[in-house]
Amino acid sequence: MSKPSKPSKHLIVTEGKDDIYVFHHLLTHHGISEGHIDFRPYDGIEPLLEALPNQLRESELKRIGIVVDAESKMRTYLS
Amino acid sequence: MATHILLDSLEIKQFRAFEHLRISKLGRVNLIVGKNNVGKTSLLEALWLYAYQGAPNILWKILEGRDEGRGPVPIEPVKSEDVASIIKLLVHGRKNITRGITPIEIGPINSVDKTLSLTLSWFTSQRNEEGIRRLVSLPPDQYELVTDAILGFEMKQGRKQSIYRIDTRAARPQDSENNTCIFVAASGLSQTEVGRYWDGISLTSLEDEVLESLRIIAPEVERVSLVGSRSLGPRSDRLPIVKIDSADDPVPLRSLGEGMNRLFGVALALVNSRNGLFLIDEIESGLHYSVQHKVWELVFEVARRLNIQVFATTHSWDCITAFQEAAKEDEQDEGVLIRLVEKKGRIIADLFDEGDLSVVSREGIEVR
Repeated sequence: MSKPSKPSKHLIVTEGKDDIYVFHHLLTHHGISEGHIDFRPYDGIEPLLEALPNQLRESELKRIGIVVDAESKMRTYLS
Repeated sequence: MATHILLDSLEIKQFRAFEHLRISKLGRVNLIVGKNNVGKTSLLEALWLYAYQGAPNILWKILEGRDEGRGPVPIEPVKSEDVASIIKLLVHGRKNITRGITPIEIGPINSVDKTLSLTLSWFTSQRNEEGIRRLVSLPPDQYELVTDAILGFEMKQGRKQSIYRIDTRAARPQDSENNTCIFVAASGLSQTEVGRYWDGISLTSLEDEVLESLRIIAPEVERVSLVGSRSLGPRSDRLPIVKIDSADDPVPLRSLGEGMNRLFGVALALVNSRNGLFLIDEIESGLHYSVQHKVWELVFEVARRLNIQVFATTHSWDCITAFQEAAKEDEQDEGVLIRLVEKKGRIIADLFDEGDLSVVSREGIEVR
């Protein structure tokens, strides 16, 4: 049971922790401050998709980015 | 949803912060969250007013609970304009109400028969042919022309209809159809209320329920009772005392901490709400997070057994997770979390069922 930290205004949700490192480097490379972006890693695509409807309802949330692997199964998830 | 609950949905119009609030689904146990000033307490007040069909004494209790009544209203009627300036605080927009209002409406969605409608009107007291005084409605533009114009509410609920003046704090005559409804403010119960509710259950099996609830915090409590206090005077002001197994003499309940006092009030008010509504503001107040789960277990269990519908507010994350855990353990799907949020200047309700709540709680998604 995790306790919410400060509510996120700008959030990127990912399938795993590794994806966050990619974004960290990407943002650093482009000189973008990470200060106002929060990251939330999930433990795979299934938990991410299960939580997503409620994740979108987080108070204060203005923008959300969803990072998932481009797999062949993606079509089934989207449908 | 299992057995019958009093309200399966709720619609409130023109009351306090709510221009038009719709809550499409209610559970037996409902937890209300939201930022300050979005109307969590107002939601409880609307339900209180609904249960007592807009009775003037409840109206004044609501106002005084927020220091809006400017001190106790005298038994004798006061100037109607002064009353109007206070009553307008209950009306959405807080506009001048002397020329009438759009009706305040509270009730289940699309249920004309059950919806309580309150309209403000001016009246004058006239004698009929038999010499009995009755309130007669005045057109809104004529109240200034009549020296003894009286401000009153026209109440309608299904076929029931009545008019009552609101410049006194008179309760409406006891109506057997009235629902039971107890409101516990964030500050807790008054000593008079504690006395009254204790008398309502003393020496019944419900007294044991209250004792059991105290054992959530202090398992060593053997008995609980109320005694008169010499320093307090009137019999109505009595103090709860408890007998604990390690001491020969009873000790004041409060000496075991403020949490015990709060828990006593919660349990006492809950069991007295049998077959009715139990409304409690800031339920977590004074309760350590480690006991909140057990308090919710008690609330879910007692609410179902005594057929009570519960509405509680909170600001606390611990309280939400404790609510979610107790709801999950409870066999029936009866818990609903209601988040009030302001969107484009209007207050709306966002609902989380038990499935949503387990995700919110597990992932730490901020919903307050």
